[in-house]
Amino acid sequence: MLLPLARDAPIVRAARQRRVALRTLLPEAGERFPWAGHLGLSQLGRVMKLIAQARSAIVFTNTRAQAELWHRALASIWLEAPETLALHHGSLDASLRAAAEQGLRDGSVRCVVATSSLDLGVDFPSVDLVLQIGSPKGMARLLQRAGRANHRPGAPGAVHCVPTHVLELAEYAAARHAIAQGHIEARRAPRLSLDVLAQHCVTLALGGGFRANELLDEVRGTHAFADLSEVQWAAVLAFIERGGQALENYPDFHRVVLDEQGLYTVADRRVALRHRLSIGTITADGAVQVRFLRGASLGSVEEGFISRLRPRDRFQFAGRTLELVAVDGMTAYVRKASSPSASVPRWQGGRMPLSTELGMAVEAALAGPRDAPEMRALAPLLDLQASASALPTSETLLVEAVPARGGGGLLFVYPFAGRAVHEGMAALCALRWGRASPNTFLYAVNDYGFVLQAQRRAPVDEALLRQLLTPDGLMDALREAMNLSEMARRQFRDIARVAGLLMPSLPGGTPRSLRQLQASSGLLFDVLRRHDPSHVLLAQAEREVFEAQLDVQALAATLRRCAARRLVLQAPLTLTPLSFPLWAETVRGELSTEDWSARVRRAAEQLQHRHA
Amino acid sequence: MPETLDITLAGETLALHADRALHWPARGRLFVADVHLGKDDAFRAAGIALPTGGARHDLERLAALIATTGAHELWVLGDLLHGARPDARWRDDWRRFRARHAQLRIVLVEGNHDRSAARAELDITLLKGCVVDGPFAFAHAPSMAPAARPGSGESRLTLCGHVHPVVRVPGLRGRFPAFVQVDDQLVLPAFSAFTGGWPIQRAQARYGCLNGHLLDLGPVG
Repeated sequence: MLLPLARDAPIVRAARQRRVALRTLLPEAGERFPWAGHLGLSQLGRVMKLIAQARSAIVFTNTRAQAELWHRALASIWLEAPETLALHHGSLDASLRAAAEQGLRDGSVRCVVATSSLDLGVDFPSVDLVLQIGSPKGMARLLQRAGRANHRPGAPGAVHCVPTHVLELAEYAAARHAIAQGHIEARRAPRLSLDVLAQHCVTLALGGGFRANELLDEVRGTHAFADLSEVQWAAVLAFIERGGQALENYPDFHRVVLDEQGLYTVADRRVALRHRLSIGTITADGAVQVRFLRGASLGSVEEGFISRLRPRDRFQFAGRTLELVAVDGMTAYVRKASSPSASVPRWQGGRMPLSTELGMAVEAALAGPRDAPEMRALAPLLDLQASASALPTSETLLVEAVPARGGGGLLFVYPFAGRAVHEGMAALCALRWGRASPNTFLYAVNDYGFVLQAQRRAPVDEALLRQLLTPDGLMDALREAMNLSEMARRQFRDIARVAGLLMPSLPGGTPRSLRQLQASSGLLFDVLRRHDPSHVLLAQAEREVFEAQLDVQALAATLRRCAARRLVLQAPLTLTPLSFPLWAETVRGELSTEDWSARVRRAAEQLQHRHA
Repeated sequence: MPETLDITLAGETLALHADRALHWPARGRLFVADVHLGKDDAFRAAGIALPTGGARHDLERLAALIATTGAHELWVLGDLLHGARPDARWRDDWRRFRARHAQLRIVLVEGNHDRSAARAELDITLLKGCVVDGPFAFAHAPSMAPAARPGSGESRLTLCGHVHPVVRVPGLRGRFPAFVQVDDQLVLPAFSAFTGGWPIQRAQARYGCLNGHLLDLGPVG
């Protein structure tokens, strides 16, 4: 947030909150409903019926891949003119997005399938139906989306929620309850993003130059950099001028030069070119332009997705089925394909976590009175959970230990604190458990809890659990866990790009002169760690993991909450309604306290076993 | 898990080393590929702040391998250098390395990054194209070697580099540099620690270099 910092400024609030109605598309009595999943296409018929009755509609999804799939599903049963159904997400070409927005405004588009790219900004008074596919993730976000419907003074907002798996019913009931009580999440603005500051300094140096002390005063006037220390400022200047603090490590480096008049400027034309190409980009892995053979650009997908395709392979993008013709540099040329079966690109980037506030509300709702229609629909599943294991409550912490095939064990823990906090807890618990006896753990998280899969058998009891979940010694253990689990290495990818360490993807391919400068962020991370471990950007990666990714304050609060609760350790014979979705999640990370040789030996044994 | 692994190819015993080198004991030769000296210098010169130290680290690894194997010849199968920067920092490290191994014969089979090697005063023997010696041919890039004459009954194996092969290992995260045998070519992993990699889709044999351990991963594709 670059607003001027004024700690005692008056705050103006809206006099009256808009009323918002939250309805859920409930499964019919007796209808089988998936325990896990994230598409929700089984609800397509009900969604279509609602859209048919509306003037114009927005269907909000949580990811871009989900938006593409829903658009394709709706298009396959769409009875009106095809151009009245549109798609809107952040990887589409700006002109396609603008066309969808204009269509909603002038009434020529009846329905837009959108991600959060349409959450904010322009208003569409004609929209009278808003649907939310899947988890609302938080009250503030749901309200924001609901507010897109009937956006006129005095008119109430409304949102129809479409569950993608059965437990989301509880989220809707909990969100409605929380909104009625006025519980809405606060929004936190990022602070001290030194990569952004470094980029800004180079931009200013390019545009005529800057003076250090004048710029420091200006930068400190903002909310984001109000607490910028002299040491951090000196480190940023050292990074852009000399490469790093240890001068002898960076011979012949000059990105920005300080002239005799005390002005920082850019002298090298190549540096200027590279910088102009990389500023302003939203961090994404090597983005490949998708373009028709002759004509329009459709947007961009990740390099990793395109690299797995061969010419003539089909994929779904920008609401069309496309056939790959050729890849040239960072451009993929495509033509329209007729066959509807095609793969859908997935974009990397963290999935948004459930807010802690909504997590607590869900936990309370699961064991609470079944007074909402969603909770009545959930009753059979909750009864099954209660008989096979136990229901989570606001006074207890539920833990389930299930034996795994192949000797290890699965430990499911349900703190209901959102996936970001759970990732930190999983790494922390893996580290502490591994300290007690060397082991290797895989972990997966969702918004309700996390699972640890031990590679070597390790017994669990209440004393051990208390020890794993203690809030004591949190920071030291977390720092060690972060190093062992490579979280900082992952975070470094975005930082390296913003700070100008990575080559931008260039339109028309990388010129020969720049090809020798390609390196992955992981490689750069390793080089910095080995040869300049005190580097300012490494420290930032660590800080961002702590503050933004893991949300250490929320993590500490969650651990304190867990410590105050009664532990309910269950040993169900099979997976339960709560553990099944976690078991089906893809592995998020790995943490090992074992000797590397022991792990290589086990990998070798597994290979032999497989070939035998 | 061993640090070295003996394999037999074309009737000769070759020792693979986990630190990404190959030793041919019968001739006392150590082979590496893709050392890319001066890669960090190229980055710094272009305004990307990377610390020095990579070249020294790689040359120290090389010195250790020479000491353990007792090799009296070092063959670099291309891309000893990364770019053409005569004033770069890696030269001091190279001069020290060369002085410490004054008796060592160093042969470079020129690679696509080595255009400036001839005038770089490295005190090495420079060979171009593909070198045939005994049952082997030595080249930088795969498929550059002349195939054995069809029907002649002779089989010739090419040792090469260039593609920086990497593999994944079930049960371990990440990618690892590897020796891979594809048809009649044995491709060496990139020696430099500061190199990326190319995942191998098809190979008759793969030997992963797993941070100090060698693992026979068998064929793929």
